[in-house]
Amino acid sequence: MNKKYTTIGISIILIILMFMSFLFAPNDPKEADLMNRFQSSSDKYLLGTDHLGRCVLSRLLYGGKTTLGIILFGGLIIFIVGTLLGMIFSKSIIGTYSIVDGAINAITSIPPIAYLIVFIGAWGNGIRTMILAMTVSYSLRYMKLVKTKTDLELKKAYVLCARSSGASKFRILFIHVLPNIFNDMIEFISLSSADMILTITGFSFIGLNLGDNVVDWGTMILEARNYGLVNPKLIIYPILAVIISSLTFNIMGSSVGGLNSND
Amino acid sequence: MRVSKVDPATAYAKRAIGNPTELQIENIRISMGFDKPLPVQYFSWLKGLFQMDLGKSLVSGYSVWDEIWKAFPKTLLIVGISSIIQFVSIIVIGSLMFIIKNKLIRRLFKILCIVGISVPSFYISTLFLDIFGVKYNLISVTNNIGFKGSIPPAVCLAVFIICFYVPLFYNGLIKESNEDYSMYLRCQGLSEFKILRNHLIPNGILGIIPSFLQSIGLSIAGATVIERVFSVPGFGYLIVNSVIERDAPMIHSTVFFLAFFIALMNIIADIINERIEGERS
Repeated sequence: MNKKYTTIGISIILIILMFMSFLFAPNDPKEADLMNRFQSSSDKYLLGTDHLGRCVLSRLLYGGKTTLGIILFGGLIIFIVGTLLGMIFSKSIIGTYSIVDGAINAITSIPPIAYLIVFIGAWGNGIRTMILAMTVSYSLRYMKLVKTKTDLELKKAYVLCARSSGASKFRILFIHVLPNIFNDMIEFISLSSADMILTITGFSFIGLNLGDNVVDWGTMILEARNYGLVNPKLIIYPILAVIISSLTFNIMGSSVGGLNSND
Repeated sequence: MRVSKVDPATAYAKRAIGNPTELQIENIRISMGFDKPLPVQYFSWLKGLFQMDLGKSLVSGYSVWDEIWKAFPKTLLIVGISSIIQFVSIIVIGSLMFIIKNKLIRRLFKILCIVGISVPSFYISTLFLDIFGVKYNLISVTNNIGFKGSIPPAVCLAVFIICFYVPLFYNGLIKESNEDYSMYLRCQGLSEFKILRNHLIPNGILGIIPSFLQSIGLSIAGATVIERVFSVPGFGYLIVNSVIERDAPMIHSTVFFLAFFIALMNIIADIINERIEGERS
């Protein structure tokens, strides 16, 4: 048990570090210096410079701010909106309607990538579109999870006890049921955060980036790939950043999920 | 789509004429039907769908239906090959993990699986291209069509799903081997390997098959990025291109087809799931 809490703690610290470390960036990530292209690491540029002479380390840290910022902000919205909606659509408030179930199943079967494509098609690429598409698609899925888990919990004996002692519907849902499904919720959010990182970087890698002047890992990988023969090291740093961050979310998710099983 | 603030008529006029006047834009708008109210536009699109006439692509000028018809089989081939690879490797790796009793190697497998779902698929495919295409010249870098050309993208597509399902399959095997019936089989004197081959693996497969079928539907969407890297002129390539070019009729139809295919796979998964439940009880 203790080991899992340690893992979760380390993961959270790592995520916060990656998100906040742009504060310690040594240089301006957008400042181009064509005289200093493809520099190797030096005191001023710790990881060297890229094809426009920009500091790779600063770009890496600011990229973390962009990508993880989207995910943390999106995750918070998903958590709030999805929990509320899932509770509302659970059996205790609106009852059982096969139409509602069918509609939820239909909406959630569409993958997040499809939402992303439709939203980018409609509003153009940018951070706002990305956040909107991510939150809409994932909070619908999350809502379904909360609804299913809540329905399962509502059948258990403790809910019956609470009801017979006169607890209101909202008290049952938010004070009795919510703590019991909390781990599942966190597990889902952190696993889908890992998914989101891959989707965001994947999309900016194929050219649907977050905007023209935004520093992010996917764009860095794309640019570095064009100069892969000149300096192959450039592509390693952003890829490592992507892998480490999604690995952290994945490990955190599976550790939180493992808290329920007694081993 | 129609709520977009970018006017499709203006975008088309700019692409076709370069520097259009107000009158030219207005003419294009009327000729393409963008001047009518939204419900009318929607119903005319719906009518076209039933008549298999989805309009013309604003970029290439070809019929949208033809373009989709040309691109879809390529994607389907990749996804088909990929799901065969996935299915076989999930069973093989899962059973290997079950057979090998060494704790260290099992741990290694588990860690590899978590790493596998954390590495972006586009990086795996670029690495694949760089190593096998550029360094050893075994596969061609562009124009990956046909059966042989579809294998590299299929492999890259498979990695994520294999790493996702192997732990599930392995846990299923462990669960099945703790059931009463496997104890009974052991008492009968059957060897562990026979029990695994004849009883545990089929039951384990039944456990993962519904969600696996759904993941085939999702693979179509997941193939977008990989097709782009391998420059396969498939369905995903079509979608991304139409989004980049703001090709409204194309986006509508491709997204419709994507949703349609995923819904189809979900329905098949549901039917199979019900069959399995029926057989078991």
